[in-house]
Amino acid sequence: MDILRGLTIIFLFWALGETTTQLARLPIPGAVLGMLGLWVALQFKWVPYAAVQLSAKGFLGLMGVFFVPPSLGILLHAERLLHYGWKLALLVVITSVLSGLTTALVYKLLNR
Amino acid sequence: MNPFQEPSLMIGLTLGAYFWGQHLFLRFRKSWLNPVLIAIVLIGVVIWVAGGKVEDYLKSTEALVFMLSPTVICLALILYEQTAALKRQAFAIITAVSCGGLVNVIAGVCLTRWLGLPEPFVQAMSTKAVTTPIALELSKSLGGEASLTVAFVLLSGIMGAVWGLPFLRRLGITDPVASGLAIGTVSHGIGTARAQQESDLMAAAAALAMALNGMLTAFYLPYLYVWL
Repeated sequence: MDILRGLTIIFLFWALGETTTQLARLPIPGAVLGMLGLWVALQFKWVPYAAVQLSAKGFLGLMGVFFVPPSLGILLHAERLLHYGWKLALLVVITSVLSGLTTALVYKLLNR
Repeated sequence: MNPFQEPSLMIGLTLGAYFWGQHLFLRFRKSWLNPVLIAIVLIGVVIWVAGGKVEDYLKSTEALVFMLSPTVICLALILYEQTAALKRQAFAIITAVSCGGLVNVIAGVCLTRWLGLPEPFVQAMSTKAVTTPIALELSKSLGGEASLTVAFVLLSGIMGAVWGLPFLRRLGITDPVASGLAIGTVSHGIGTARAQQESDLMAAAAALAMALNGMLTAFYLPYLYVWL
């Protein structure tokens, strides 16, 4: 029963987010809006934590698995990506390093 | 029968490969033993050796990818658990994630243009740090190529998940919130999955950064991109 109740709530918030973005034509995906919705609902105790805990932890534990198939989709672009090989690798590394460092350092600076 | 068109087999293979990767990570605790990366390599080798088609594999595993959206909803739980711990630093968190996200977009677009790469790559670089569903929407409004966009999102995700934490640690950044925010801003969901292996606080910071950066980028990128 616990899992069923949790799943119902999770899919309800997904549907809510999806409907909202489509009706209001927001650029944000429904799932992200649904996440914010569920967070607000948990904060205000509209949804009790215990009601979603079991189902949500199940999904979260498998999160990495769900990224595996789309990652293999990169292979479809292998030829084009390899054509610009080192340039692309360099670009992704440099921008990621700059971005990650900026985030971490700005946080540390403001949080002293 | 083509085994690559059989969902039971391909989903089973994916779960098995990930399970083995997780096992290796827990045993040796090396950052480069990322279960997502191990599963990709293993399945890639299987497809290559058996002469399968990537397209068939992708079609057979659609059910797994469908689960990504409800998983995003579930991140609310981690966020809720850590809200009390993160509340006091709200201003620092929002500023840090906005700055990091902006640097990624601006540096990505400018450097890619400077190196003379074609426009679809410039567009894909601009959305590579946001979570897949948002990147897809943005790609549509920027007129980019959807599958190339996703490829860059995942490249950025895997790279950050594998090397992000060791890199930050080497620079002496070990604070779980600072590292979580950085890995979530750069590597969205894959980074958040990696942060879950460290601690709940780091996972919450990563999930929050992913959501914030995704939403902020969704709002400003269509305008900023025209201007850049």
